[in-house]
Amino acid sequence: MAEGIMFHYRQADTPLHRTDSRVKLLSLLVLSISIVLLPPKAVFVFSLYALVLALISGLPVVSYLREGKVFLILGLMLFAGRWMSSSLPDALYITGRFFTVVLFGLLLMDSTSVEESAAALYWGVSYISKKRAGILSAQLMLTLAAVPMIFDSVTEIREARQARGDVPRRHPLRFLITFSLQVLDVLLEKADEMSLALESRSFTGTMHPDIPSMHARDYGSLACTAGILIIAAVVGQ
Amino acid sequence: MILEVQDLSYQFPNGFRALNSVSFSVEAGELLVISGKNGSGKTVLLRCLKGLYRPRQGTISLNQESFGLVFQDAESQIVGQTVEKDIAFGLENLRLPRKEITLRVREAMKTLDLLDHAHQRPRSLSGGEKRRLTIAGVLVMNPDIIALDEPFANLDYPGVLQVLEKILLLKEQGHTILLVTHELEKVLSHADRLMLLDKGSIAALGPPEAVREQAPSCGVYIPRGMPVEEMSWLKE
Repeated sequence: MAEGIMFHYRQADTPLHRTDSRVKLLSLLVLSISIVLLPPKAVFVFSLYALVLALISGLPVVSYLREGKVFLILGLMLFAGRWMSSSLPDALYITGRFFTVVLFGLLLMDSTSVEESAAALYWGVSYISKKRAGILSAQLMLTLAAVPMIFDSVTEIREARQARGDVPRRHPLRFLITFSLQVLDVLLEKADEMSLALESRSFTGTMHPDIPSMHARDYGSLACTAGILIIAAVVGQ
Repeated sequence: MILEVQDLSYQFPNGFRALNSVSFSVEAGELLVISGKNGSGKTVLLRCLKGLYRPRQGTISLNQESFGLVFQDAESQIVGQTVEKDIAFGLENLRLPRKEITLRVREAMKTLDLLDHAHQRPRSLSGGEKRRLTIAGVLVMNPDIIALDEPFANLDYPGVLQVLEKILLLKEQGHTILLVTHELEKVLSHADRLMLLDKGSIAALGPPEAVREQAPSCGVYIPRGMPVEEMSWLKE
């Protein structure tokens, strides 16, 4: 079975992969909020920055384009809707903003492992409550780890039903109900098995990941994000 | 005696009695093969030993920390994003120092021949490699007893050989092995004893040669006329 790579961590040795997960998470938040708040012209700066990062990190763009058709369709719908209701420049701005935010998200997921994301979350929340931080980061890690399992189960069940001549179009409602129940059944069974396996590996529902110390390059990345914000603000005016 | 089980019984909430007064003991360094048809209680027995299921009655003399359980479904046991990180998962839960974790993970990867896959995503591994990864994830916790639930299930010939080789290596290193399988022809020649379970009870327990005749009546296939010493895929 072909394995999807979209929104999966990809092991690589690039500046972006080496950057601390806290810096990446913080930068994503700041950039995503700024792209909405700053004037339309600033989108160009953010898009250019995202493309440069994609180039540096060797993002498998072709595979992502193949797998991410849903984003292309959403972008096109957004563009068409906006063009009809407003103007062409406005439609270009909104669509560009959408694709840039998606690209930032892809860059984060592509270059940050689940464990690193959990550690970044733990670091952020631990200022409020260490206990909650441990629980939240463990939940994030398990959720992200379980997502591929869910997709695999759905694909397997769909293919098995197809192989037995199941045609969804014939009875769509019946298909939807029986398919959903079957997926739920399989997932509950797998979740039960997974929880026992986790228990046998001393998992207690909380985690306390090591927070690595920041390097000079991480401060450099933060400065880079700040620089992009300033440039975007200037260009936007 | 590294493990002693007395009068162990387990009943599912729906009333099904999966284990019925099971008693046995295991010597350190022993390879005990546990077999029986589906639903005979093999998996339940291992889960009771690990403390995942609470038995209805009976006693288990065992330090549960020193008991490692490798599940049948490798996928449900793998949580890490890379091979290295998955093996470290259990040790991180114990909050061991990073230095020790790195050292032990490396050692486990070396034993299971996974060093070349350290940074690979577990989901991209072959069936045999995945199974070896799950064994490494348990081995890294330094258990005295390693229990494997159907380790050859869904594996091709090279996969079975890879896993079998590593199981025997672990035995050589002094680990006690409990191996649940119904594919006796793949491994029986390496077993010190064979336990046959039937309807939650021990139907037979002893040296493979002495017990083999009772396998068919317990619903377990055993090649007719084949000497026990030839029952290993490693010898082919």
